[in-house]
Amino acid sequence: MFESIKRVLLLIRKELTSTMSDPVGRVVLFIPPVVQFIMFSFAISQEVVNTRVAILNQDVGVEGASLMKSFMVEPVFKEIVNVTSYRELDSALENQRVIAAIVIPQDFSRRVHSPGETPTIQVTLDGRRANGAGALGGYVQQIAARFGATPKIETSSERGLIVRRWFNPNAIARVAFMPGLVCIIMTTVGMIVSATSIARERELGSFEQLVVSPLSPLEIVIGKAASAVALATISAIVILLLVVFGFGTPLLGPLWLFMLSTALYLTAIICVGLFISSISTTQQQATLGLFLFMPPAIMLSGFATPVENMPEWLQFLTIPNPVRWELIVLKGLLTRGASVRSIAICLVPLALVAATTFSCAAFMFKRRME
Amino acid sequence: MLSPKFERLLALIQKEWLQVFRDPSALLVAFVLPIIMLFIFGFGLSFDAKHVKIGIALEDRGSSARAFWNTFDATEYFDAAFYGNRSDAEQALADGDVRAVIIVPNDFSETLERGEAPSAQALIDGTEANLSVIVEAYALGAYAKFLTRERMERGSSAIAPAAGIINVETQMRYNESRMTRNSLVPGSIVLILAMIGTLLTTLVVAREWERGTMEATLATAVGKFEMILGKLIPYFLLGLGAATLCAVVAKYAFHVPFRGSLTAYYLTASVFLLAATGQGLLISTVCRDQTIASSIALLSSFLPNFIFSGVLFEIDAMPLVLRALSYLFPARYYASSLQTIFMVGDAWTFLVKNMAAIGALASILLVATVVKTRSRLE
Repeated sequence: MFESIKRVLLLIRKELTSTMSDPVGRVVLFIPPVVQFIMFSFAISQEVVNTRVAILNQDVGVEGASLMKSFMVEPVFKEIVNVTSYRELDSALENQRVIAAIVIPQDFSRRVHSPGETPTIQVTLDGRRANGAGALGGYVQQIAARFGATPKIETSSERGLIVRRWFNPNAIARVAFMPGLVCIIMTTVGMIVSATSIARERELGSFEQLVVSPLSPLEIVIGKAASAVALATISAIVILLLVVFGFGTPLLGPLWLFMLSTALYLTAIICVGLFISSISTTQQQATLGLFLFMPPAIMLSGFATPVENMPEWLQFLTIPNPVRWELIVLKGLLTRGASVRSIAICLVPLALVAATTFSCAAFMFKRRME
Repeated sequence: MLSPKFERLLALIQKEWLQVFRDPSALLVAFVLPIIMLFIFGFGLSFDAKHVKIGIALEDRGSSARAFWNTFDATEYFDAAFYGNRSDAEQALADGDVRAVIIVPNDFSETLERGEAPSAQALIDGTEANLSVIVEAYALGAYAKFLTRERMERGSSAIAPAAGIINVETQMRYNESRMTRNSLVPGSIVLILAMIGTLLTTLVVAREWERGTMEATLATAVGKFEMILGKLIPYFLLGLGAATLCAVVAKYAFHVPFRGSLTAYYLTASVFLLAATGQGLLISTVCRDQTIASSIALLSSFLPNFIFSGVLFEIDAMPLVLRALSYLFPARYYASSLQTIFMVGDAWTFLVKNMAAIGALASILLVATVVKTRSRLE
């Protein structure tokens, strides 16, 4: 038992030295995460701002003009394109010069001033823009409601339903996507470190040396996994420091919880990588295998769109997806300050997935070596 | 008779073809990955929020407060859970158990009895940026609906209305059924073709450079152009095969409308594949190492295509530098072209403009590859 631990430790040391002394290994480990983090943190946003909207105002009265004015001051719109005909409106929409078109009909002013009649405006949204169109429709509705409400209700705005946005009061996209980013980057590093490791050794011929060493297959898998987890944890810590000090997002939960969940998650991900690596004969196959696993796992984690928008059977199928659980943990720790209890619950599926993927990798590896 | 040049080219293509069909991983990427991606974009991703979990903290136990709760629970947009006090509800929000909390204060019924619009508070989880906008709109809508009903039941106009004075008729053009799937599935084809065109080509060619078989081939009578064409054509055809598969699956499995013509579909796909394979060839020619080449392919192809296609994320919301950068990625033009072909039809002015942009980028990439291949050998 003692001998076995010693052998594993030696293998871990060998793995760490060989990765860190290899310039390629260092590049792969640190450059992509940093580039991704910087690029993603500025690029990823589902916020609807800076949009162009066409308005066809057929109303000659005051109210139509004043409604147009209230659209113009909205920060959501960057440019209001005045169109004079439906044909012009259709072409602007079709060629994506605008994302939405608003029509103020000619009886608008008259209806505003005649009691019992409801003035109507028409909004046509570009259905090609799945995210933008839906949100913009909501904004137009809010603006119209505000326009209608201003002259009639004198009471303060403290009446009615008062909406407050918590955890991210200014709805900054970077804050909302931060946990997802940390998660994606940890995943990418973990997968790249592990998925190509065995396949690369096999291609370079150093794999045979490992096979003839006194290490048992189980010891090799443990050594490979542990060293990969250690390396990926280092880059996770780098990213956490960047988040906390670079972007000023504090860690709202205890550090040990972050470390524990990260270690469990990385073990789960890295064992998937080792599994892919052990069934591929070349690096090329390993990289492609990684591509078959990683994008689906990330996209079905709730990163881009919430898990609860999925059909129920698919929500059920994503239970074994480790990314989904790690994302809940990170969101809780980095943005909401969730209770320890609610985060600890997510560690159970993470631990189960890690145990399963480790067994699969060890089993596959043993079979390949015999 | 065929010219010897052409014959050599055919032999190279045949060789490449055999290599692809003997390696299951390349075939997986060409034919299984498209189906997985379409499946994810078709089922897994959606901006249509329904049955959002919310918590309602009732500090007022009057019947009007309960009626208010019922208004929220009755819509298909919310699943409302009941919390006895404010702090439990707030904890549930922090833990992510609910996406929003509606707090009904203890003077709710009383205010309503007085004929005033009662106030209530909605706390929304801002960490799901997009969802929070939708939830806010739904919540305001539910509140307005509640007030209207109360006014009707009481037969009084005493309760001041809060919203709904201007009627907004909304039409979702090109997507009448309002399924985000119709736009996400065509958008995913960009990612699929980019992965086949760029990633697969990068891996295959970098491996040949790494092993030296590229130089070995070039030492024969094969010229540089033939070499490049011999690599480009097979992966280009593989991409067109995947594009066909995508169109069939999108139309018949996901029932996405296909309003354009096949001519427009294959034309845009061809131009995009030229750019994608050109990019792959360039990356692998510049760096010999497989590991570095695949990392660069990941960074310069998969991620930008994911972000700059504008399918899931908003280009308009990016900082100016990135917005400018997005014009350099073919994905930007191809994604909106695909969505146009599927959802609008053959809007040629729009499509031709986009194709020209992709074509320009493709020719830059291909010329760079030719120059680089030449300089690598000297």
